[in-house]
Amino acid sequence: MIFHSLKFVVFFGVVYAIYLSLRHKAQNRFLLAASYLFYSTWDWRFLVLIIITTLTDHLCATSIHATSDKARRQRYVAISVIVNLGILGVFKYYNFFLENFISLFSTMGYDISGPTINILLPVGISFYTFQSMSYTLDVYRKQLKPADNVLDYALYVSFFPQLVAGPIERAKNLLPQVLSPRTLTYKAAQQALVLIAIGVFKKLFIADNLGDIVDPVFAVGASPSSTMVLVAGYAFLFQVYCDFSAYTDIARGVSKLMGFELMDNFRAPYLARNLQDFWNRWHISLTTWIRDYLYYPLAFARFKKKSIPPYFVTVLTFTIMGLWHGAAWGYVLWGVYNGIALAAYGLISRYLPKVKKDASALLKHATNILCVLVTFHVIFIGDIFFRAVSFDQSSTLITTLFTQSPFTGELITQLKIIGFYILPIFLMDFFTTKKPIEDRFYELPVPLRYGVMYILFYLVYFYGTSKPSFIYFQF
Amino acid sequence: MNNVNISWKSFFDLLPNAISVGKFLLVIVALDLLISIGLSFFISDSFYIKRYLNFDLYENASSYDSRIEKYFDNAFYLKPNLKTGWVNTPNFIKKELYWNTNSLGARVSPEQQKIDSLPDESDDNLIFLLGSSVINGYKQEYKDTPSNHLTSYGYSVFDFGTVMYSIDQTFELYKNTLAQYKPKVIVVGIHNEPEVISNMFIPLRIHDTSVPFLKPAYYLSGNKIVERNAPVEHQRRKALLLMFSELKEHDAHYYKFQIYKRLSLLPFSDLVRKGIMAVEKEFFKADEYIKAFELQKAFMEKMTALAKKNGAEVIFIKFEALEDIKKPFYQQLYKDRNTIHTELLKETSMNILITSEIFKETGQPISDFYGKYDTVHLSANACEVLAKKIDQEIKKITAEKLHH
Repeated sequence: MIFHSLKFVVFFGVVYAIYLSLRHKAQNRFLLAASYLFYSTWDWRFLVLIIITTLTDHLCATSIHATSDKARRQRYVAISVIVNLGILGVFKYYNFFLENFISLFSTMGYDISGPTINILLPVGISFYTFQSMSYTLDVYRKQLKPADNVLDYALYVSFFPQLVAGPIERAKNLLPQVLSPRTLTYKAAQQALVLIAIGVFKKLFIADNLGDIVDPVFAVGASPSSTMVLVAGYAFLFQVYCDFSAYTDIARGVSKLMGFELMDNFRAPYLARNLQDFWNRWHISLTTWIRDYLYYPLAFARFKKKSIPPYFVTVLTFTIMGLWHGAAWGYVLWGVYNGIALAAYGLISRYLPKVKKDASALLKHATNILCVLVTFHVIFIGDIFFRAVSFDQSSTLITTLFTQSPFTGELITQLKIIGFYILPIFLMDFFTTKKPIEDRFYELPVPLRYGVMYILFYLVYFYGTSKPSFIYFQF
Repeated sequence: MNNVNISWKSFFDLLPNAISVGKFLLVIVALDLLISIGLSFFISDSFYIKRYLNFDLYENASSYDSRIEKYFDNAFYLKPNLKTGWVNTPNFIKKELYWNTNSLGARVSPEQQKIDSLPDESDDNLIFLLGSSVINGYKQEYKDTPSNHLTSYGYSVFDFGTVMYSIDQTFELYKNTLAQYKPKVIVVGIHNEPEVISNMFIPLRIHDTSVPFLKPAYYLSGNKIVERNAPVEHQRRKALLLMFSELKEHDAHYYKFQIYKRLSLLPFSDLVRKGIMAVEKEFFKADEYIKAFELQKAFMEKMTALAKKNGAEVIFIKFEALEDIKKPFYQQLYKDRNTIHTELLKETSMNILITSEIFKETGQPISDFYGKYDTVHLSANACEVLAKKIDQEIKKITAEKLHH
């Protein structure tokens, strides 16, 4: 059940009507049932996995909290991590690792085989597993008190607006909202509707239209020109951003209507002036998760009184982040590439010339624009690995791009086409760098506000198209 | 923490604000309508026509997109015909598209070397498939067409399915060209669209690449079929405006349609226009649809009589689009066109197979029976299921004939 479907509108309408009729505790129980129903519309059998994750982590967190014995606490947190990663490993990575082991051994002359699992990837598994794992880790770090009731915790894990594609909420943020009575203010309702409208616009007008340009270039067997690789690469960057942030916007809007505040996942990422800045703005809920539970522990760890070189930690964590996205070498390469790029930036940044404070405004702006463009293009190359269906395809596309000139007569025509779709998101990001869009929108004069909404509606109505899924559902 | 929990009360507390938002929305809708109506007095025909064509193409992107152009781009796979409007170009080979025809215009296997093979009238297993692109397995490889499946069951099949054909054209083709080959069975595909109207749009939608001709048009006077318009051949790549005026002369309905289209400039007025059109289509035009169905039935009866005279049995297949079967809830509240059509056909004593019933019998999800290009043409799976059903029907008819 996807957000921009009539099914979801009916589902949410019914859920909301019942939700408003209940008291707080009953609301929580009802939302849990609705979330399980929502998830079961993909495949009810995968509910078992969510329930196992929930029970394990709740039990582990409660046990950790109940004891002060360090060894026992470590044991419980290890159980939680092993169960979560075990489920993820079996359902997401088992076939990938098995196939790669088999091919590795066969290159060494050993003919081995192993049973592959013929199973669909449970939708949203990476999101809710990480979300649930953060709970036990926070309890272990004594940053959080476990929920008294497992059903409240179950709602935190499976809250339907963010269940299948995030944001990956920390228990510290979402669990207190589950436990306390919630409110609905006029401002929150306004913001919710703006977020939903913008999410629908980003998905139907920008992401799905750009998808129609991207897909043929990355189709199996396609041999696009250098111009088209460049154009499709640009288009993909905005497609994936708008597709994913659209989901987040709608999830946040729907949650706001129910009195929940979810975290923002993106802050104008393509206006970042360097790679560090970019990763502070892109998929924030994942990057901060990786930072808090993987990067910092590794960076501050001591092995034989020695710490791991920070650049190595960066590459390692990015590689894991790549693998989080999917069991394919393209994602691993994407992670390695971005890790190396960020580490390299960390190394060279101190040597880069800085614009003096008293430099002219023009020079400052020009430098900023140059930095944004360079950052954008570094991300652009990485995303070719991300989008390509195989390593062969990504290497072919990158070779095409660098060995043939993309600057043909067709380039301007194609850029105009994608520019039509990209311009609105560029404007939105440009005007919302300092404040979230839902706040910035209500600073506009009333006629302009309605005018903007009317233009968005016009574009979706006449030019919108719809793909039956969100890109990040596959992760 | 705030102890006032979210409830219906907190929701209703928002109502005064919501009313002021509603007022603004009403103003916007009114402005949208006024601008659309006002502009229609000042903007030229050509602007609307071009805009309509662009949007129509866009709206129908799933079925009328560039893939069609790739499929039949300047292929001249059709040629004009004075009786039927157009026919498949004979001896046409486009191997990469699996589209080959023999000397009579029947679709044949791309591997078939001798494409000028003719039907053998003494063959007891001779079957003709007639009708539109749906029966010829449009965009499917030849191996997946109903025709190929029927061949594998032991029949000698000639598939004359022609893009956008309706029953009147099918009848003319059979009468003038095919009856002489004395097929034992003819299988005719029919649709629930009053094709007299819908065919008008096609030359405009894809005027460069698809059907560049206008079909003959008929009406019923009592029980008699009268020809209203003879087929017209458009010049390929003719100026759109000229083409439109030609169509306007050909069918007054199109002009009316165009007036509605003038409200399509802005989104809210376009929604209103669509609403008016939908209501008109379903309710106020019901008589026109019934007339079109009656005309179709008259042609079917004429065809059955002619076939009988030539010693052939006729099986009609009523093809339905996916949206005719998977209807939105409100369409289930009243008798829609498809239901009226089905009931009308079931009253007759002709051999009629109905695709929705055939597909439902299999127990598979209905959307599996439609191809990836649109909601009208069948998937490979559907072609096979259909061929099996045709085979059963032929056996049933043959057994009944022997019994008699």
